[in-house]
Amino acid sequence: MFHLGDRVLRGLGPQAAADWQMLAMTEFFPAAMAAGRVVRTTEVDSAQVAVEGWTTVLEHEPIPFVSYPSEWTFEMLADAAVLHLDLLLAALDEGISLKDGSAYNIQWRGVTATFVDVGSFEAVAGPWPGYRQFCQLFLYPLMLEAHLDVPFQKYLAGHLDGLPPADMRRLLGGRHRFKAGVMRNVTLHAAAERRTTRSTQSVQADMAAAGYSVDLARATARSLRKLVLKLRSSRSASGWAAYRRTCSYSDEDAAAKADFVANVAESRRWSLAFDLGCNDGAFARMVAPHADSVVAVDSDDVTVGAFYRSLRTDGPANVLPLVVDLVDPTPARGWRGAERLAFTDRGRPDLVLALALVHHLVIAANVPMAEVVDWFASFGATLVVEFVEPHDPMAQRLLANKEPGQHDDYGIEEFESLLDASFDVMARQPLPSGRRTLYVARPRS
Amino acid sequence: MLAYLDAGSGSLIASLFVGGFAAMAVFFKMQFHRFTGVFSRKGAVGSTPEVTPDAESTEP
Repeated sequence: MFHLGDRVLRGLGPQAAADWQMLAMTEFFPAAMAAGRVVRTTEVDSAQVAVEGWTTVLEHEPIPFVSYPSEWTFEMLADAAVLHLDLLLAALDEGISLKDGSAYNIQWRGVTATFVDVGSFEAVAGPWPGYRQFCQLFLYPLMLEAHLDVPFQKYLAGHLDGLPPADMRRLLGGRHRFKAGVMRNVTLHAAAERRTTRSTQSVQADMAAAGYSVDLARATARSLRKLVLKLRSSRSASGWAAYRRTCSYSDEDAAAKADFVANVAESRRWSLAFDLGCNDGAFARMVAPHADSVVAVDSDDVTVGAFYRSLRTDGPANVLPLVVDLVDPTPARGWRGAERLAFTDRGRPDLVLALALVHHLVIAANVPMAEVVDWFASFGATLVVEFVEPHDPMAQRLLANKEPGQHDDYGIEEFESLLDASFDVMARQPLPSGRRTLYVARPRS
Repeated sequence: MLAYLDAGSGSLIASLFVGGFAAMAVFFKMQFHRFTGVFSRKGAVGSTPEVTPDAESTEP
Protein backbone atom coordinates (compact mmCIF):
# COMPACT_ATOMS: atom_id res chain seq x y z
CA MET A 1 0.00 0.00 0.00
CA PHE A 2 1.27 3.47 -0.74
CA HIS A 3 -0.02 6.99 -1.22
CA LEU A 4 0.51 9.27 -4.17
CA GLY A 5 -0.81 12.64 -3.07
CA ASP A 6 -4.42 11.91 -2.11
CA ARG A 7 -4.49 8.68 -4.10
CA VAL A 8 -4.41 5.31 -2.31
CA LEU A 9 -2.59 2.66 -4.36
CA ARG A 10 -1.77 -1.00 -3.87
CA GLY A 11 1.07 -2.71 -5.71
CA LEU A 12 0.59 -6.39 -6.55
CA GLY A 13 3.31 -8.95 -7.27
CA PRO A 14 2.71 -11.83 -9.75
CA GLN A 15 0.75 -14.10 -7.32
CA ALA A 16 -1.37 -11.25 -5.91
CA ALA A 17 -2.03 -9.99 -9.44
CA ALA A 18 -3.30 -13.46 -10.43
CA ASP A 19 -5.55 -13.51 -7.32
CA TRP A 20 -6.86 -10.06 -8.31
CA GLN A 21 -7.66 -11.21 -11.86
CA MET A 22 -9.56 -14.17 -10.42
CA LEU A 23 -11.43 -11.90 -7.98
CA ALA A 24 -12.38 -9.37 -10.66
CA MET A 25 -13.99 -12.18 -12.69
CA THR A 26 -16.35 -13.25 -9.88
CA GLU A 27 -19.98 -12.21 -9.55
CA PHE A 28 -19.93 -11.34 -5.85
CA PHE A 29 -16.98 -8.92 -5.89
CA PRO A 30 -18.28 -6.25 -8.32
CA ALA A 31 -21.72 -6.50 -6.66
CA ALA A 32 -20.23 -6.01 -3.17
CA MET A 33 -18.17 -3.09 -4.48
CA ALA A 34 -21.25 -1.45 -6.04
CA ALA A 35 -23.11 -1.84 -2.74
CA GLY A 36 -20.23 -0.16 -0.85
CA ARG A 37 -19.49 -3.34 1.11
CA VAL A 38 -16.02 -3.50 -0.43
CA VAL A 39 -13.88 -0.42 -1.06
CA ARG A 40 -14.15 0.77 -4.68
CA THR A 41 -11.06 -0.51 -6.45
CA THR A 42 -9.86 -0.02 -10.00
CA GLU A 43 -6.82 -1.24 -11.88
CA VAL A 44 -4.58 1.59 -13.03
CA ASP A 45 -2.00 1.71 -15.74
CA SER A 46 1.27 1.38 -13.79
CA ALA A 47 3.03 3.63 -16.31
CA GLN A 48 0.50 6.32 -15.44
CA VAL A 49 1.32 6.39 -11.72
CA ALA A 50 5.09 6.27 -12.14
CA VAL A 51 5.72 3.30 -9.87
CA GLU A 52 7.84 0.38 -10.92
CA GLY A 53 8.33 -3.19 -9.81
CA TRP A 54 4.68 -4.23 -9.61
CA THR A 55 2.80 -6.59 -11.91
CA THR A 56 -0.45 -4.71 -11.32
CA VAL A 57 -1.31 -1.48 -9.50
CA LEU A 58 -4.75 -1.00 -7.94
CA GLU A 59 -6.30 2.26 -6.81
CA HIS A 60 -8.72 2.36 -3.85
CA GLU A 61 -11.24 5.07 -3.14
CA PRO A 62 -9.89 6.84 -0.02
CA ILE A 63 -11.63 6.30 3.33
CA PRO A 64 -12.62 9.66 4.87
CA PHE A 65 -11.19 8.82 8.31
CA VAL A 66 -9.38 5.63 9.28
CA SER A 67 -10.59 4.10 12.55
CA TYR A 68 -9.60 1.05 14.56
CA PRO A 69 -11.73 -1.70 16.15
CA SER A 70 -10.84 -0.51 19.66
CA GLU A 71 -12.69 2.72 18.80
CA TRP A 72 -15.89 1.03 17.64
CA THR A 73 -19.01 0.31 19.65
CA PHE A 74 -20.24 -3.23 20.32
CA GLU A 75 -22.72 -3.06 17.46
CA MET A 76 -20.14 -1.60 15.06
CA LEU A 77 -17.79 -4.51 15.81
CA ALA A 78 -20.67 -6.98 15.40
CA ASP A 79 -21.77 -5.40 12.10
CA ALA A 80 -18.17 -5.43 10.85
CA ALA A 81 -17.89 -9.12 11.84
CA VAL A 82 -21.07 -10.00 9.94
CA LEU A 83 -19.82 -8.12 6.85
CA HIS A 84 -16.53 -10.03 7.01
CA LEU A 85 -18.34 -13.39 7.24
CA ASP A 86 -20.86 -12.48 4.51
CA LEU A 87 -18.01 -11.66 2.13
CA LEU A 88 -16.25 -14.91 3.07
CA LEU A 89 -19.44 -16.90 2.41
CA ALA A 90 -20.07 -15.17 -0.93
CA ALA A 91 -16.43 -15.74 -1.93
CA LEU A 92 -16.50 -19.43 -0.93
CA ASP A 93 -19.45 -19.97 -3.27
CA GLU A 94 -17.15 -18.96 -6.12
CA GLY A 95 -14.07 -20.89 -5.05
CA ILE A 96 -12.35 -18.00 -3.29
CA SER A 97 -11.43 -17.61 0.37
CA LEU A 98 -9.86 -15.00 2.63
CA LYS A 99 -6.31 -15.25 3.94
CA ASP A 100 -7.23 -13.70 7.26
CA GLY A 101 -10.05 -12.66 9.55
CA SER A 102 -8.86 -9.31 10.83
CA ALA A 103 -11.11 -6.53 12.07
CA TYR A 104 -8.53 -4.12 10.59
CA ASN A 105 -9.80 -5.30 7.18
CA ILE A 106 -12.91 -3.20 7.81
CA GLN A 107 -13.22 0.58 7.67
CA TRP A 108 -16.22 2.91 7.83
CA ARG A 109 -17.81 5.47 5.54
CA GLY A 110 -20.02 7.16 8.08
CA VAL A 111 -21.95 4.22 9.54
CA THR A 112 -21.45 1.93 6.53
CA ALA A 113 -18.85 -0.77 7.06
CA THR A 114 -16.61 -1.44 4.06
CA PHE A 115 -14.02 -4.16 3.52
CA VAL A 116 -10.72 -2.59 2.47
CA ASP A 117 -8.14 -5.37 2.28
CA VAL A 118 -8.76 -6.51 -1.28
CA GLY A 119 -5.41 -8.34 -1.20
CA SER A 120 -6.84 -10.81 1.35
CA PHE A 121 -8.79 -12.77 -1.27
CA GLU A 122 -7.13 -15.92 -2.61
CA ALA A 123 -8.12 -19.22 -4.21
CA VAL A 124 -9.74 -21.49 -1.66
CA ALA A 125 -7.39 -24.11 -0.22
CA GLY A 126 -8.48 -26.05 2.84
CA PRO A 127 -9.78 -24.58 6.09
CA TRP A 128 -10.23 -20.82 6.58
CA PRO A 129 -6.90 -19.59 8.02
CA GLY A 130 -8.61 -16.48 9.38
CA TYR A 131 -10.57 -18.28 12.10
CA ARG A 132 -8.04 -17.50 14.82
CA GLN A 133 -7.83 -13.81 13.91
CA PHE A 134 -11.59 -13.61 13.67
CA CYS A 135 -11.87 -14.97 17.22
CA GLN A 136 -9.17 -12.66 18.58
CA LEU A 137 -10.29 -9.44 16.92
CA PHE A 138 -14.07 -9.88 16.57
CA LEU A 139 -15.57 -12.71 18.57
CA TYR A 140 -13.62 -12.47 21.84
CA PRO A 141 -14.07 -8.69 22.29
CA LEU A 142 -17.80 -9.17 21.62
CA MET A 143 -17.90 -12.01 24.17
CA LEU A 144 -16.06 -9.91 26.73
CA GLU A 145 -18.92 -7.44 26.62
CA ALA A 146 -21.82 -9.86 26.02
CA HIS A 147 -20.80 -12.46 28.61
CA LEU A 148 -18.84 -10.46 31.17
CA ASP A 149 -20.40 -7.00 30.82
CA VAL A 150 -16.94 -5.50 30.29
CA PRO A 151 -16.55 -2.84 27.56
CA PHE A 152 -13.95 -4.28 25.18
CA GLN A 153 -12.42 -1.11 23.75
CA LYS A 154 -9.53 -0.56 26.19
CA TYR A 155 -8.63 -4.26 26.15
CA LEU A 156 -8.57 -4.42 22.37
CA ALA A 157 -6.49 -1.22 22.24
CA GLY A 158 -3.86 -3.06 24.29
CA HIS A 159 -3.76 -6.11 21.99
CA LEU A 160 -3.01 -5.21 18.39
CA ASP A 161 -3.49 -8.87 17.35
CA GLY A 162 -6.62 -9.23 19.45
CA LEU A 163 -7.33 -11.12 22.67
CA PRO A 164 -5.48 -14.49 22.84
CA PRO A 165 -7.52 -17.73 23.28
CA ALA A 166 -5.53 -18.70 26.42
CA ASP A 167 -6.40 -15.38 28.15
CA MET A 168 -10.03 -15.68 27.12
CA ARG A 169 -10.20 -19.25 28.51
CA ARG A 170 -9.15 -17.89 31.91
CA LEU A 171 -11.58 -14.97 31.72
CA LEU A 172 -14.47 -17.17 30.57
CA GLY A 173 -13.94 -20.11 32.94
CA GLY A 174 -16.41 -21.66 35.42
CA ARG A 175 -20.07 -21.13 34.61
CA HIS A 176 -19.16 -18.78 31.74
CA ARG A 177 -18.06 -21.84 29.73
CA PHE A 178 -21.71 -22.63 29.16
CA LYS A 179 -22.53 -19.24 27.62
CA ALA A 180 -23.12 -18.87 23.88
CA GLY A 181 -20.15 -19.99 21.81
CA VAL A 182 -17.65 -20.17 24.69
CA MET A 183 -17.07 -23.92 24.88
CA ARG A 184 -16.35 -24.32 21.16
CA ASN A 185 -14.63 -21.04 20.35
CA VAL A 186 -12.76 -20.39 23.59
CA THR A 187 -12.34 -23.47 25.81
CA LEU A 188 -11.70 -26.02 23.05
CA HIS A 189 -9.82 -23.45 20.96
CA ALA A 190 -7.38 -22.76 23.79
CA ALA A 191 -7.02 -26.52 24.44
CA ALA A 192 -6.30 -27.21 20.75
CA GLU A 193 -3.75 -24.41 20.72
CA ARG A 194 -2.05 -25.81 23.82
CA ARG A 195 -1.87 -29.37 22.52
CA THR A 196 -1.01 -28.82 18.88
CA THR A 197 2.70 -28.69 18.34
CA ARG A 198 2.67 -29.41 14.62
CA SER A 199 3.15 -26.98 11.76
CA THR A 200 0.23 -25.38 9.93
CA GLN A 201 1.13 -27.18 6.70
CA SER A 202 1.16 -30.55 8.45
CA VAL A 203 -2.26 -29.93 10.05
CA GLN A 204 -3.68 -28.70 6.73
CA ALA A 205 -2.46 -31.84 4.98
CA ASP A 206 -4.00 -34.04 7.71
CA MET A 207 -7.30 -32.18 7.40
CA ALA A 208 -7.33 -32.61 3.63
CA ALA A 209 -6.57 -36.32 4.02
CA ALA A 210 -9.46 -36.63 6.49
CA GLY A 211 -11.87 -35.19 3.91
CA TYR A 212 -12.01 -31.46 4.71
CA SER A 213 -14.04 -29.67 2.04
CA VAL A 214 -15.15 -26.13 1.24
CA ASP A 215 -18.60 -27.03 2.64
CA LEU A 216 -17.01 -27.25 6.09
CA ALA A 217 -15.41 -23.81 5.73
CA ARG A 218 -18.87 -22.55 4.78
CA ALA A 219 -20.44 -24.27 7.81
CA THR A 220 -17.81 -22.66 10.08
CA ALA A 221 -18.54 -19.18 8.70
CA ARG A 222 -22.31 -19.71 8.98
CA SER A 223 -22.00 -20.91 12.57
CA LEU A 224 -19.85 -17.88 13.50
CA ARG A 225 -22.34 -15.53 11.82
CA LYS A 226 -25.21 -17.02 13.81
CA LEU A 227 -23.21 -16.67 17.02
CA VAL A 228 -22.26 -13.02 16.37
CA LEU A 229 -25.91 -12.14 15.72
CA LYS A 230 -26.88 -13.85 18.97
CA LEU A 231 -24.43 -11.88 21.15
CA ARG A 232 -25.93 -8.82 22.79
CA SER A 233 -24.30 -6.18 24.91
CA SER A 234 -26.06 -5.85 28.23
CA ARG A 235 -24.39 -2.51 28.92
CA SER A 236 -27.01 0.17 29.11
CA ALA A 237 -26.38 1.96 32.39
CA SER A 238 -24.22 4.99 31.75
CA GLY A 239 -23.92 8.31 33.47
CA TRP A 240 -24.07 9.96 30.06
CA ALA A 241 -26.88 8.13 28.33
CA ALA A 242 -29.53 10.38 29.89
CA TYR A 243 -27.40 13.53 29.77
CA ARG A 244 -29.70 15.39 27.42
CA ARG A 245 -32.55 14.95 29.92
CA THR A 246 -30.55 15.69 33.06
CA CYS A 247 -28.16 18.44 31.92
CA SER A 248 -28.52 21.97 33.19
CA TYR A 249 -29.53 23.67 29.94
CA SER A 250 -32.64 25.78 29.97
CA ASP A 251 -34.71 25.71 26.78
CA GLU A 252 -33.45 29.22 25.95
CA ASP A 253 -29.80 28.16 26.39
CA ALA A 254 -30.30 25.04 24.28
CA ALA A 255 -31.94 27.04 21.47
CA ALA A 256 -29.26 29.76 21.52
CA LYS A 257 -26.49 27.15 21.47
CA ALA A 258 -28.10 25.32 18.55
CA ASP A 259 -28.42 28.61 16.61
CA PHE A 260 -24.80 29.51 17.26
CA VAL A 261 -23.48 26.12 16.10
CA ALA A 262 -25.83 26.07 13.10
CA ASN A 263 -24.58 29.50 12.00
CA VAL A 264 -20.95 28.38 12.04
CA ALA A 265 -21.82 25.08 10.33
CA GLU A 266 -23.67 26.84 7.51
CA SER A 267 -21.00 29.50 6.99
CA ARG A 268 -19.02 27.36 4.51
CA ARG A 269 -18.41 23.79 3.28
CA TRP A 270 -16.21 21.73 5.64
CA SER A 271 -14.13 18.82 4.54
CA LEU A 272 -13.63 17.01 7.88
CA ALA A 273 -15.28 18.06 11.13
CA PHE A 274 -14.48 16.65 14.59
CA ASP A 275 -17.07 16.73 17.35
CA LEU A 276 -15.04 16.14 20.52
CA GLY A 277 -17.17 14.90 23.43
CA CYS A 278 -20.17 14.43 21.13
CA ASN A 279 -22.56 12.83 23.66
CA ASP A 280 -25.75 11.98 21.71
CA GLY A 281 -24.37 13.63 18.56
CA ALA A 282 -26.95 16.41 18.23
CA PHE A 283 -24.31 18.93 17.08
CA ALA A 284 -22.49 16.47 14.81
CA ARG A 285 -25.84 15.99 13.06
CA MET A 286 -26.15 19.76 12.70
CA VAL A 287 -22.75 20.01 10.98
CA ALA A 288 -23.22 16.89 8.78
CA PRO A 289 -25.16 18.54 5.90
CA HIS A 290 -22.35 21.10 5.54
CA ALA A 291 -19.38 18.71 5.76
CA ASP A 292 -17.99 15.92 3.61
CA SER A 293 -17.54 13.87 6.75
CA VAL A 294 -17.89 14.24 10.50
CA VAL A 295 -16.05 12.22 13.14
CA ALA A 296 -17.92 12.34 16.46
CA VAL A 297 -16.09 10.96 19.48
CA ASP A 298 -16.96 10.37 23.10
CA SER A 299 -15.44 8.19 25.79
CA ASP A 300 -18.80 6.72 26.81
CA ASP A 301 -19.37 3.55 24.80
CA VAL A 302 -23.06 3.32 25.72
CA THR A 303 -23.82 6.84 24.48
CA VAL A 304 -21.82 6.34 21.27
CA GLY A 305 -23.59 2.99 20.84
CA ALA A 306 -26.99 4.70 20.97
CA PHE A 307 -25.73 7.36 18.53
CA TYR A 308 -24.54 4.66 16.09
CA ARG A 309 -27.97 2.98 16.23
CA SER A 310 -29.76 6.26 15.56
CA LEU A 311 -27.42 7.06 12.65
CA ARG A 312 -28.03 3.62 11.15
CA THR A 313 -31.77 4.20 11.33
CA ASP A 314 -32.14 7.89 10.52
CA GLY A 315 -28.81 9.00 9.04
CA PRO A 316 -27.06 11.19 8.11
CA ALA A 317 -24.69 8.81 6.35
CA ASN A 318 -21.52 10.89 6.68
CA VAL A 319 -21.08 10.83 10.48
CA LEU A 320 -18.66 8.30 11.99
CA PRO A 321 -19.22 7.82 15.73
CA LEU A 322 -16.21 6.54 17.69
CA VAL A 323 -15.43 5.61 21.29
CA VAL A 324 -12.35 7.68 22.13
CA ASP A 325 -11.23 8.79 25.56
CA LEU A 326 -9.83 12.24 24.83
CA VAL A 327 -7.64 12.15 27.94
CA ASP A 328 -6.16 8.83 26.80
CA PRO A 329 -6.73 8.65 23.01
CA THR A 330 -5.67 5.69 20.86
CA PRO A 331 -1.87 5.86 20.64
CA ALA A 332 0.36 4.87 17.71
CA ARG A 333 0.76 1.07 17.76
CA GLY A 334 2.73 -1.78 16.26
CA TRP A 335 6.31 -2.02 15.03
CA ARG A 336 8.14 1.22 15.79
CA GLY A 337 4.76 2.72 16.59
CA ALA A 338 4.20 3.13 12.86
CA GLU A 339 1.74 0.36 11.92
CA ARG A 340 -1.33 2.08 13.36
CA LEU A 341 -1.46 5.82 13.79
CA ALA A 342 -2.53 7.72 16.87
CA PHE A 343 -6.07 9.08 16.75
CA THR A 344 -4.98 12.68 16.19
CA ASP A 345 -2.55 11.74 13.37
CA ARG A 346 -5.21 10.18 11.14
CA GLY A 347 -6.84 13.28 9.74
CA ARG A 348 -6.66 17.07 9.66
CA PRO A 349 -10.06 18.52 10.51
CA ASP A 350 -11.00 21.99 9.31
CA LEU A 351 -13.71 22.33 11.95
CA VAL A 352 -13.53 21.25 15.60
CA LEU A 353 -16.49 21.33 17.97
CA ALA A 354 -15.59 21.26 21.67
CA LEU A 355 -18.92 21.86 23.36
CA ALA A 356 -19.18 21.49 27.13
CA LEU A 357 -15.83 19.72 27.10
CA VAL A 358 -13.29 22.06 28.71
CA HIS A 359 -14.63 21.67 32.28
CA HIS A 360 -14.35 17.87 32.01
CA LEU A 361 -10.75 18.04 30.84
CA VAL A 362 -9.67 20.72 33.33
CA ILE A 363 -11.67 19.87 36.46
CA ALA A 364 -12.40 16.13 36.16
CA ALA A 365 -9.22 15.06 34.36
CA ASN A 366 -6.85 17.70 35.83
CA VAL A 367 -5.46 18.80 32.46
CA PRO A 368 -4.11 22.38 32.79
CA MET A 369 -6.34 24.80 30.86
CA ALA A 370 -3.34 26.16 28.89
CA GLU A 371 -2.69 22.58 27.69
CA VAL A 372 -6.29 22.21 26.60
CA VAL A 373 -6.24 25.43 24.56
CA ASP A 374 -2.83 24.52 23.10
CA TRP A 375 -4.30 21.14 22.06
CA PHE A 376 -7.24 22.90 20.38
CA ALA A 377 -4.77 25.10 18.47
CA SER A 378 -2.80 22.02 17.35
CA PHE A 379 -5.71 20.95 15.11
CA GLY A 380 -5.18 24.11 13.03
CA ALA A 381 -8.95 24.23 12.48
CA THR A 382 -11.84 26.59 13.10
CA LEU A 383 -12.86 25.99 16.70
CA VAL A 384 -16.33 26.19 18.21
CA VAL A 385 -15.85 25.99 21.96
CA GLU A 386 -18.15 26.31 24.93
CA PHE A 387 -16.92 27.49 28.30
CA VAL A 388 -18.94 26.39 31.31
CA GLU A 389 -18.43 28.80 34.21
CA PRO A 390 -17.55 27.47 37.67
CA HIS A 391 -20.96 28.46 39.09
CA ASP A 392 -22.85 26.31 36.54
CA PRO A 393 -24.48 23.33 38.32
CA MET A 394 -22.63 20.81 36.10
CA ALA A 395 -19.25 22.43 36.85
CA GLN A 396 -20.23 22.58 40.52
CA ARG A 397 -20.84 18.85 40.47
CA LEU A 398 -17.31 18.23 39.21
CA LEU A 399 -15.79 20.76 41.64
CA ALA A 400 -17.58 19.10 44.56
CA ASN A 401 -15.17 16.14 44.26
CA LYS A 402 -12.11 18.40 44.45
CA GLU A 403 -10.19 20.10 47.27
CA PRO A 404 -11.36 23.70 47.83
CA GLY A 405 -9.15 26.03 45.80
CA GLN A 406 -7.72 23.24 43.64
CA HIS A 407 -9.22 24.75 40.49
CA ASP A 408 -9.21 28.45 41.39
CA ASP A 409 -7.60 29.19 38.02
CA TYR A 410 -10.64 27.73 36.24
CA GLY A 411 -12.42 30.93 35.24
CA ILE A 412 -13.72 32.71 32.15
CA GLU A 413 -11.07 35.47 32.25
CA GLU A 414 -8.25 32.90 32.29
CA PHE A 415 -9.91 30.93 29.49
CA GLU A 416 -10.44 33.99 27.27
CA SER A 417 -6.90 35.19 27.77
CA LEU A 418 -5.53 31.75 26.75
CA LEU A 419 -7.87 31.63 23.77
CA ASP A 420 -6.84 35.15 22.67
CA ALA A 421 -3.17 34.17 22.82
CA SER A 422 -3.51 31.42 20.19
CA PHE A 423 -6.70 32.21 18.28
CA ASP A 424 -8.53 35.07 16.61
CA VAL A 425 -11.93 35.00 18.27
CA MET A 426 -14.49 35.64 15.53
CA ALA A 427 -17.62 35.58 17.67
CA ARG A 428 -18.48 35.30 21.36
CA GLN A 429 -21.95 34.64 22.71
CA PRO A 430 -22.96 34.21 26.34
CA LEU A 431 -26.01 31.96 26.69
CA PRO A 432 -29.14 33.50 28.32
CA SER A 433 -28.54 31.76 31.67
CA GLY A 434 -25.25 33.63 32.04
CA ARG A 435 -23.44 30.42 33.04
CA ARG A 436 -22.04 29.37 29.67
CA THR A 437 -20.36 31.19 26.77
CA LEU A 438 -19.76 30.05 23.20
CA TYR A 439 -16.88 31.12 20.97
CA VAL A 440 -15.89 30.61 17.38
CA ALA A 441 -12.20 31.07 16.85
CA ARG A 442 -9.54 30.60 14.17
CA PRO A 443 -6.02 29.62 15.08
CA ARG A 444 -3.32 32.18 14.33
CA SER A 445 -0.88 30.57 11.95
CA MET B 1 9.92 -23.17 23.49
CA LEU B 2 6.46 -21.64 23.21
CA ALA B 3 7.78 -18.96 20.86
CA TYR B 4 8.61 -21.67 18.32
CA LEU B 5 5.11 -23.12 18.18
CA ASP B 6 2.80 -22.22 15.33
CA ALA B 7 -0.25 -20.71 17.00
CA GLY B 8 -2.24 -21.00 13.78
CA SER B 9 -2.15 -24.80 13.58
CA GLY B 10 -4.12 -25.32 16.81
CA SER B 11 -6.69 -22.80 15.58
CA LEU B 12 -7.15 -24.71 12.32
CA ILE B 13 -8.07 -27.79 14.35
CA ALA B 14 -10.24 -25.64 16.64
CA SER B 15 -12.20 -24.36 13.64
CA LEU B 16 -13.48 -27.94 13.20
CA PHE B 17 -15.35 -27.67 16.51
CA VAL B 18 -17.37 -24.80 14.99
CA GLY B 19 -18.18 -26.44 11.66
CA GLY B 20 -20.91 -28.84 12.83
CA PHE B 21 -21.10 -32.64 12.71
CA ALA B 22 -19.34 -33.06 9.36
CA ALA B 23 -16.38 -31.02 10.63
CA MET B 24 -16.29 -33.03 13.86
CA ALA B 25 -16.19 -36.17 11.72
CA VAL B 26 -13.07 -34.77 10.03
CA PHE B 27 -11.59 -34.11 13.47
CA PHE B 28 -12.17 -37.69 14.64
CA LYS B 29 -10.91 -39.08 11.34
CA MET B 30 -7.70 -37.04 11.79
CA GLN B 31 -7.28 -38.44 15.30
CA PHE B 32 -7.85 -41.93 13.95
CA HIS B 33 -5.26 -41.40 11.22
CA ARG B 34 -2.77 -40.16 13.76
CA PHE B 35 -3.54 -43.11 16.04
CA THR B 36 -3.15 -45.65 13.27
CA GLY B 37 -0.08 -43.73 12.06
CA VAL B 38 1.67 -44.63 15.32
CA PHE B 39 1.64 -48.27 14.17
CA SER B 40 2.80 -47.46 10.66
CA ARG B 41 6.42 -46.78 9.73
CA LYS B 42 5.18 -44.39 7.07
CA GLY B 43 3.14 -42.27 9.47
CA ALA B 44 -0.47 -41.19 9.10
CA VAL B 45 -2.20 -41.31 5.72
CA GLY B 46 -1.60 -38.08 3.84
CA SER B 47 0.48 -36.52 6.62
CA THR B 48 3.67 -34.67 5.81
CA PRO B 49 6.96 -35.09 7.65
CA GLU B 50 7.00 -33.00 10.80
CA VAL B 51 9.16 -32.33 13.82
CA THR B 52 7.08 -33.08 16.88
CA PRO B 53 7.51 -35.44 19.82
CA ASP B 54 4.68 -37.62 18.36
CA ALA B 55 6.23 -37.77 14.94
CA GLU B 56 9.69 -38.43 16.26
CA SER B 57 8.35 -41.43 18.19
CA THR B 58 7.32 -42.99 14.87
CA GLU B 59 10.82 -42.69 13.47
CA PRO B 60 12.76 -45.96 13.22
